[in-house]
Amino acid sequence: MKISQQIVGVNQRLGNTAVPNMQGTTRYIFDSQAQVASNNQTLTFFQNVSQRAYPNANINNNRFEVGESLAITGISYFWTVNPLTVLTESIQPQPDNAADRFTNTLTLDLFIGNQRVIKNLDLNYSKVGIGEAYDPAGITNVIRLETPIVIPPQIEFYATVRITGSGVVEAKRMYLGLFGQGTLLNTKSTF
Amino acid sequence: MQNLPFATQQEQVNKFLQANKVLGAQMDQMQGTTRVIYDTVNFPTGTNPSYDFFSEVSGKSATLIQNQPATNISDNRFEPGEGMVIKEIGFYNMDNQASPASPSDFDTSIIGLGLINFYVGNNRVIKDLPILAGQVCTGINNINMPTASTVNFSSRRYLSFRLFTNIVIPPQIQFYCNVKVPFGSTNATNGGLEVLRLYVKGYGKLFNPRNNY
Repeated sequence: MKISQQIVGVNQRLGNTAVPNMQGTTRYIFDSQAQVASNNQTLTFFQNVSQRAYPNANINNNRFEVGESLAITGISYFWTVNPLTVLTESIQPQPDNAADRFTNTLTLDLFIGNQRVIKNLDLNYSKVGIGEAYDPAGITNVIRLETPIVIPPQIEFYATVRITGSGVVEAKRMYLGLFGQGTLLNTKSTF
Repeated sequence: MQNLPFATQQEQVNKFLQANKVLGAQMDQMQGTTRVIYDTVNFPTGTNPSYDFFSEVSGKSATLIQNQPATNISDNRFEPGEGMVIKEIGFYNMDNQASPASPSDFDTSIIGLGLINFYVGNNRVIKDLPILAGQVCTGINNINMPTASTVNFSSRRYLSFRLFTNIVIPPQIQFYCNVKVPFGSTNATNGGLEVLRLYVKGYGKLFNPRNNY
């Protein structure tokens, strides 16, 4: 099944029959949370996202507007210093500064409309995933899903990441991104 | 970029023809081609600096920035018979200031939190898409990761990514792209992001009412 067909199917089951007429797009939403220096903590993303202004997040609400939706095909995550103040700060690939990149385990749960749609997904698999070693010098923090997961408009969603491990987790800002094909509200012609 | 399978090629053609047909333009007889259009801007300073690409190209086609043409189109709408399906978006950081001595790093810096909004005919067709989509750590497509080359800061200067959907720019419809980054700089060189070029690449059509190739 094509991803666009899955977006249409999920929306139609919710009575949203206008989705086939919306503008197709590429969507990438992100939110961030302050991480404390602790080796066992859980961060919640997208809930109360309105309290975190850009560049801490690029959405205002944890439910899409009318006509908007997202078929999640991949999840990305990274860290920055907290707070951000200048453009030259780096995207950091791990929660600590240890040389060994596997000192922590990151397990993700994703909830859409009171339902858990991803359960205890180990994000660190992205570092060994097929297709992700194209640039051996680079570090890839993207895990690609085997099936798209559709977030329809007006349905609340949020994600939790549990950080555990032996590494010295530092006080940083953790970002979580969800990306894939999506739709934008367009009541007339689409391009 | 790899050769596209025929089904994918046909999909982009069909979407292009359908979008044009709705607008009353008959495009199926025109010459298929590959288009790369770009615009270059001096990036502004300040908090949350942003700039519109393509919106003012009509006065810039003869302008040189660092002795290079600032743009390769003369208007931000295509002529009759021309059009484009956007497949890829790319950036080229042309900063060459002495201080700071190196351009801001497109590959690993928080420029990645910058947001892209693309408009076609008063409709927003790309909404707050972060530049992260092309960075090596967080790229949405694993087919065109940036290289790790450090020659002439190439891994710092260039970034591109491929979109998941076809977006059509029909002829005679205005388009522009807004890019904003999280922070500016108070110094004159804008922290290594003084001049920025935006590329849009994709399938296109050229005016040819008779034979095409």
